[in-house]
Amino acid sequence: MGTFQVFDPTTEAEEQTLTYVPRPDSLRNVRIGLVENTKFNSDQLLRRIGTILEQEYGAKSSIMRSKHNSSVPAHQEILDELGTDCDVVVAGVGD
Amino acid sequence: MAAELQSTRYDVADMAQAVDFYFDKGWTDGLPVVPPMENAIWGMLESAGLEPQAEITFIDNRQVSVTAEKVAINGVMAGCKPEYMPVLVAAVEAMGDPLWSYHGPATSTGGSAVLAVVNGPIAQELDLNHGDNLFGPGWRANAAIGRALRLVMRNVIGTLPGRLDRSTLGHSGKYSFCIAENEAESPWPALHVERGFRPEQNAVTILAALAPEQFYNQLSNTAEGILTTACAHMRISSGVRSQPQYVLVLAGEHMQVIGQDGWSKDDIRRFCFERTQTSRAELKRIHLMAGEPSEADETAMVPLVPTAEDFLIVAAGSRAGAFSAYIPGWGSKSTSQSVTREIRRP
Repeated sequence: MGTFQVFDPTTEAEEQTLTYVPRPDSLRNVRIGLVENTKFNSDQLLRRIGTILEQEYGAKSSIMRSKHNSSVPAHQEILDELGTDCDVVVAGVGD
Repeated sequence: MAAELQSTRYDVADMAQAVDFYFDKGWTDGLPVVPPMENAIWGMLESAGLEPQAEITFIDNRQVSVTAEKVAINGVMAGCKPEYMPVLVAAVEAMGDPLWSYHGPATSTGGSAVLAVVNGPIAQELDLNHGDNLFGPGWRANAAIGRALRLVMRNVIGTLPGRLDRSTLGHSGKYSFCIAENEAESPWPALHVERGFRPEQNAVTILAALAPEQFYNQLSNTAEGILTTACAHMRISSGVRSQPQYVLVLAGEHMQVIGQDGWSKDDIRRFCFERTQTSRAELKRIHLMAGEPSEADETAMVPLVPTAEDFLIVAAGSRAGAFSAYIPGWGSKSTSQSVTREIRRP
């Protein structure tokens, strides 16, 4: 049997360009947004982080918003609200 | 068809080298694959009446377009015959449905597989097993269709174990997890009919699912007796607190007894919903819920699934043996639910 051809089964993800805002020089007087992923205790962890940022780093305020569930990105209402009302956002996977 | 395949081609010397080539590239599930050659790929596409670049679904969180060509290639690799392709296409479409919500079940430490239940005349035409050794080996269509779904997840969507698939344990259904329903002998409407399709339509239902758990009841000759055993097994299983749906697979003897007792699928669902509830107090005592049990917790009942409708009843399994099985869904109802899609053929 001679040479034959086989095919690549994979697909590359489409490239996305992500733009980051500049990091603030200081957290003094910034408004903190906390994105909670609904996992057990993630709200408590984020509240604690918010308190530390306010009390020890001089942040002005913190608000927490919850995603619809842990498997999806933050929904548009959260993005709009935090984009308008916050300077810094803390998000992560609390599990 | 005038279109050409777009995928990169590789020259290989012989079949043995081709098999090793796919291992070396990291393109297999750990077993040898059928090297996908052009004629076989076209056979799959023609069977579903699809051009190579037709988009079957788009997985948002991965920004991946899943094309017919890639589904066909992975299908050939899994051992599919061309006529399996329409089933594969419908199941891949379902994986892209926001209700199934790809990211969670594909990546979670919870380790679910894609259970695919095929209904309609196509199941018999393809010789999809609904009987003996239901979840075991022996039937090409079951094995290859289920395997192909996992290969699409791995190769096209990038769901690689240890990387984007973070399953703590996983289970063997992640190799392949595809069954049919015993529609001919079932005393009940088929799963797809309950979900809005006509009996003569073909459809596939997928559920992000944990491993099947078998239970035994050779004592009872009543529906209530068999289902009491089923509920005792289900009640404390797989985390209890948040599963979106459970599949109850009723095999031959149990199916007959429950059917002869005159119980409908709705009757079964209502019974199971009532009998699988657990008090908050017990959940706290067995450390599935935080805190100390209070007096009020003793009578505050937590259902296994959110509603009675979240028990999916499937008649399948061998005629012989007093066994049936339940399959817990993965996650919670807000993170992933079963999805049914019509299987379309040109």
